[in-house]
Amino acid sequence: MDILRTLKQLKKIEPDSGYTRRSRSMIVESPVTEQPLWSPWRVLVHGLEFGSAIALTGVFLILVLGGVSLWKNLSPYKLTSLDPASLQAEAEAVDVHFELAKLNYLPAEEPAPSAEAPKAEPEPVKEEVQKKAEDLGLSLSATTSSGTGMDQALDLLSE
Amino acid sequence: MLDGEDKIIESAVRGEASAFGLLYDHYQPKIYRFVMIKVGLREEAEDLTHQVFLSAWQNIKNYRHLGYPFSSWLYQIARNQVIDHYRAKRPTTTLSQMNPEDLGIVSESEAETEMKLTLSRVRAAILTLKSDYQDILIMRFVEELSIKEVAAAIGKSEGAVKLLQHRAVKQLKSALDS
Repeated sequence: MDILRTLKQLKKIEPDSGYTRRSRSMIVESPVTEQPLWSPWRVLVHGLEFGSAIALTGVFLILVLGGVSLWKNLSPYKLTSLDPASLQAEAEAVDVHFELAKLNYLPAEEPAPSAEAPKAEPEPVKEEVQKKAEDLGLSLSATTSSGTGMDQALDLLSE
Repeated sequence: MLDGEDKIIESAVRGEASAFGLLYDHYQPKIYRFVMIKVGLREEAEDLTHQVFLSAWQNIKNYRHLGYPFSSWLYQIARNQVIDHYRAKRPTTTLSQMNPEDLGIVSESEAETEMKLTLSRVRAAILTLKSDYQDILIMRFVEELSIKEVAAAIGKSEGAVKLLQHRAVKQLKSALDS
């Protein structure tokens, strides 16, 4: 069955012509009741409508604002993230040993590279080394002041 | 819509009974059909339709043209009348109580008798649906009102009417199948 087509068939429902005639004349002949624009009753109803609207708005605002502050003060589920004192305490208690512990893992024999130039040997040490080298019959060239030459000299001395 | 309906409505709002008579002649069969399908009994449909137009005439001065057709206002009154009717009295109409002669088709042919029975069955199925579904089915598919007019009459958005219409057709199909 095509439902939509069948529904259209319901358009064949029509009122009885006798009923239509009677109803029409009764309605058209009935006087329209005039409602005065400003009767005391109407003013009272309008006043009540306006007053109740204002009162409801006030109650709603009190409920919303009071509810928020009540929740803030009395709720067992406090929002700690919004408490500045606890936030500060938490920040102070952060474990800073993390960085230090990381430093321990750096290899001891490989010092961290430095941008500064290698330090020159201190003068007394240099003189002493030179003296000992002369005693041993070694001659130190001018380049011994470089890091490598000094190392070689120290190796020789330690032998 | 009537020719020159706006002017006729203006005259009716000013209290001209003859102008309201023209509106009655044009819209009464539609409102009667709407009410008749919803209540299922001729006498009740006649009483309610009379009440709808009496109420419309008594309150015509409050009518404001808001861009919707006059029929939407009448359908709103009709819906409220039917709701009040059902509040006052539980619906008792059943398929067996429905008289196919109420459909207004007077014919002796077998095909038309069968058609009358089919229509009675469809009308009985419509009565099993929710009130909003009934209204939308009648307004859209019997009276062929636009979505906008139906939305204005039942006080819902056009999107909601489309959705309700889809559900109503689906439920009507399942009501007829069962």
